[in-house]
Amino acid sequence: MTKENKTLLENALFESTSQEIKEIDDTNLPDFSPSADFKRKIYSSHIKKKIITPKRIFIAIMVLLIATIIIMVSTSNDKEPVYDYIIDISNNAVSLSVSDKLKDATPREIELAYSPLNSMLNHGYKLKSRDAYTTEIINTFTNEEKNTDIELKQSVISGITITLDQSLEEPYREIYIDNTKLYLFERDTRSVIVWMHAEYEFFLDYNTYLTDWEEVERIIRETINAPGVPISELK
Amino acid sequence: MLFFLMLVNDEQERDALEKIYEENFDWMLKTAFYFLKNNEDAEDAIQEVFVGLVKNKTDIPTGDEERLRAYLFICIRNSAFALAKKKNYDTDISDEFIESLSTEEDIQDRLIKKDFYNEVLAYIKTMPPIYKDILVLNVLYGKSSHKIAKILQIPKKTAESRLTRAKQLLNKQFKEFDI
Repeated sequence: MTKENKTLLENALFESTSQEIKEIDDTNLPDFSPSADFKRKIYSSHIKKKIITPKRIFIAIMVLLIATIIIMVSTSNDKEPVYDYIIDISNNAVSLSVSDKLKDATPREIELAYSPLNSMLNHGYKLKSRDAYTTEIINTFTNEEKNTDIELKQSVISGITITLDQSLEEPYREIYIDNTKLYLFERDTRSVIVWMHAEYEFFLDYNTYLTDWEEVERIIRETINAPGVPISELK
Repeated sequence: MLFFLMLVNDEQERDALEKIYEENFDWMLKTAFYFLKNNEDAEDAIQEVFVGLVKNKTDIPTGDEERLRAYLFICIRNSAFALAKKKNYDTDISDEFIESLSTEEDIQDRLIKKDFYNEVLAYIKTMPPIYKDILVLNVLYGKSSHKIAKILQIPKKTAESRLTRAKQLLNKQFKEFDI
């Protein structure tokens, strides 16, 4: 095709199209009424077609996953002790009140809960609880008039009493009395604390120097099983 | 700014597309309505046109408003036809009907034989739109069948066969062209 003919064809094609546009433009379309939210439709349609692609979904999931892992790691690093403690030191013993979160804790969890506490005790810190429940206990313990009755007060809270220096190798011993699980903690060389379901707590004193938990357990059993002395009255 | 333009990274291209939208939207929508006789379908057709423009932004003719309008017109018409086919509308814009528009009688009636240019113009007016649009994109805008397929959002094979057929029609009528 010659250059002249090519130009002629281009012009003809262009003019033909232009005339069609003009014809339509001049046409009266009485029912024609574009919707007001057409721009929004263009947007939403395009988003569906272009933005939400499998590749981008995959990237988004990966980003969320990594973010979640980072948050979990950073949270675990900064994790504070789960439990709230109240500490009262008297007679070479430390009275601890642990929030009721520890009620259903296993012995291992209790041990873990005590671990940071012991460290703090060695540095002479006194911790205060954040919740009202344990605040009330602090008030009880710091009331001079009630100090004489402190052991009984402890028995009605969710608490545990331990000694500062534990001479026994094991921090506690589990025993079962009448299907009731009891935890035994050393108080001092002449007494242990019996802790039951984080609800009942009492001290048992011995006339004999204790050297092992088997002996402690034996005496506990004898004491609790004594005729006419129900467990509930031992607190 | 229109939201779909956010996907265009180049600021100049984005501005150019936005300008096209602002300046041509009204007549484009009216044109789509002309073909589809339905507001909703017209909007859908235009929607597809803009999606296509974003996809093929480098193919949009620049510098001449009239040429741009002709280009957009072809995009609209093809988008409207595609939508009508997709929805199985019982309309008069099926391929068969469009082909049938081009009868010998029509051609003879409409041909103005004052000069060669008018003959060509008259013949082009009688050509089925699907062939005419292909010719416009190929001859006027210099687009290959591959590009045409992308612009009109049709299979490449379809674009190739239509282009071949369009050239055959033109060559049959005007030996001078031989395209």
